[in-house]
Amino acid sequence: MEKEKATSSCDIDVHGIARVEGEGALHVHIDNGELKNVELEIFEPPRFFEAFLRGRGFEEPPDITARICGICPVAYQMSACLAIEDACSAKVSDEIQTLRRLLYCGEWIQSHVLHVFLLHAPDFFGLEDAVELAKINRNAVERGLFMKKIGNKLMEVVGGRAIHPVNVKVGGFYTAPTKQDLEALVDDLKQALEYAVWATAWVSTFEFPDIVTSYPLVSLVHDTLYPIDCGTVASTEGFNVSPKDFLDRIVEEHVARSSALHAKLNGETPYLTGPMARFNLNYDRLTPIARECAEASGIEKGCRNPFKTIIMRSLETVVALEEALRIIENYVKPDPSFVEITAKAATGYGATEAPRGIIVHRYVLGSDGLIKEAQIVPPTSQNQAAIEEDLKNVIANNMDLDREQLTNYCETAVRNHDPCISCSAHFLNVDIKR
Amino acid sequence: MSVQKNSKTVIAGIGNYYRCDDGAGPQIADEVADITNTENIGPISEPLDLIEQFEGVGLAILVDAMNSGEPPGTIRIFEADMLSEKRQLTSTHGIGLERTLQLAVALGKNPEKVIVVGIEGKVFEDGTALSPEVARAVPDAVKIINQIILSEY
Repeated sequence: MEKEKATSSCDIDVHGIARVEGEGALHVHIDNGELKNVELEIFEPPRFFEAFLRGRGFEEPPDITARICGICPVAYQMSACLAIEDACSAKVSDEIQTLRRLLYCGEWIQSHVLHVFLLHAPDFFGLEDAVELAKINRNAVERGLFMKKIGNKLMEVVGGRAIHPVNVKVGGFYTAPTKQDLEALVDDLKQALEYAVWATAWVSTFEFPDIVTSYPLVSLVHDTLYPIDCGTVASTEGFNVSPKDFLDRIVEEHVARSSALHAKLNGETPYLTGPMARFNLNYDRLTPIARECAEASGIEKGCRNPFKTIIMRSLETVVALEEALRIIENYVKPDPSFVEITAKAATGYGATEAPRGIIVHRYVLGSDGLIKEAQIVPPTSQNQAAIEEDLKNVIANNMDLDREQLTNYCETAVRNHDPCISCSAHFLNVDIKR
Repeated sequence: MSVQKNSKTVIAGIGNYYRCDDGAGPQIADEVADITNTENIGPISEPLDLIEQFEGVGLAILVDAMNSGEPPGTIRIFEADMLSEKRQLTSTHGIGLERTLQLAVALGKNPEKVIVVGIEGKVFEDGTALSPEVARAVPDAVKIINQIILSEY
């Protein structure tokens, strides 16, 4: 029986997108071979975090916002700390900031490896998931699980536990690990680095569809470091601004199909944050081995193919492992492990790079040290509009595929960006008319 | 099916001590481990973490609170079907228990036998206290698991 071509009129509805975090759906409407509508629907219930931060103490956001996500809690903690410290005009020591970067490396390793090996790679083999992948390439999955484990271990040693770390506080850490604590991780980190280098070569052999995107890319940039824990906000459109000015450049709007806000530059232009943005805006800041891997893989600065984010994520895993080893080698235990912060009535901004992209926090504090207003802009709500652009692109270029193939293709196009839907659905605007 | 005499038995509670009855699994596992000297590899909140701890294991007993509609405190025991072809959605927040066991099989790291002990919960709110019905059932669950461990060898 001839399979139905998508060039005919059809609706594609994926009611629960697999291998993404949270509850999302995808709706595509094609009429007489013409793409009429694409919607990424996010129906995960709103989670009210911004509302219930109001009235809480200025030291509470790192613990409260970490609960938004079990995969990237450190991203929430770090942006929260930077924003509160910005409001209070406080500066932490270099040693504390470096330890923060080390903790963040653990999160990048476990999150990226989870996505590359367990969620994304199966797409390139036409497989359902990592179990099926393990049946044809046990070695790859075992290596992935090994790397994920050392990422988790790093988070446990620095953050107190792997999920929702408890050792982070505004101003630094409750306690800092000793050099010996960290050195105990070195052998496994070195082994993981070997595996990560292998992974960049492995994923580079995958077959990638020829898709090119044109939306602006936005990421943090830093004078000397690949951006993880700090930096200013830059774009391929040429701006390079503070987190505060970046928030002035975007407009978050509510669209009916989604419980996550859609963020656009100037309220009009979809943009993308995450590995593709970081890679392109920070190619010159890749760590030495990651740079060699990039050159060997053939991926070039300027690559705008979202399917190749699996290569970029693998390269960033190499970056995080190299950085973790560098930091441990030069580690000086922060003493004290935190700086005392005195609250003041002010507004503060903090931006860091979650594995999926920029996460910006803004807090308005009162003179009593209580939070008057909170704003959290996570990567997935920023990336939603760009993901829909990708879907349009994929569909327009593949109208000759049958419905099943096109559906799989669309799901992969969403997974390219490792969306964290639970993170994105933390808001709800309530208008009460009386 | 009995497991090989020289292989190891492990137990793991799945759940959160701070969510009332969700902590029943870890609590039962703790008590069994104390009494029987069985290695306790829990508590587990991320099933994937089990795989690395399955090496050399003959019998793994997993204890978890359940929400099946049975009266609170009901205990259900069954052997996990690691070769099931059933699929479940995989999310970024990890792979579920069933798929984890299937992954362990694919990686050749599965125990010979996995027994799941479920205890029906009633209250899953914040807090560390078990509901009276679940608390009353805990000694029974411990006793049943002890018998399973003895009977397997």
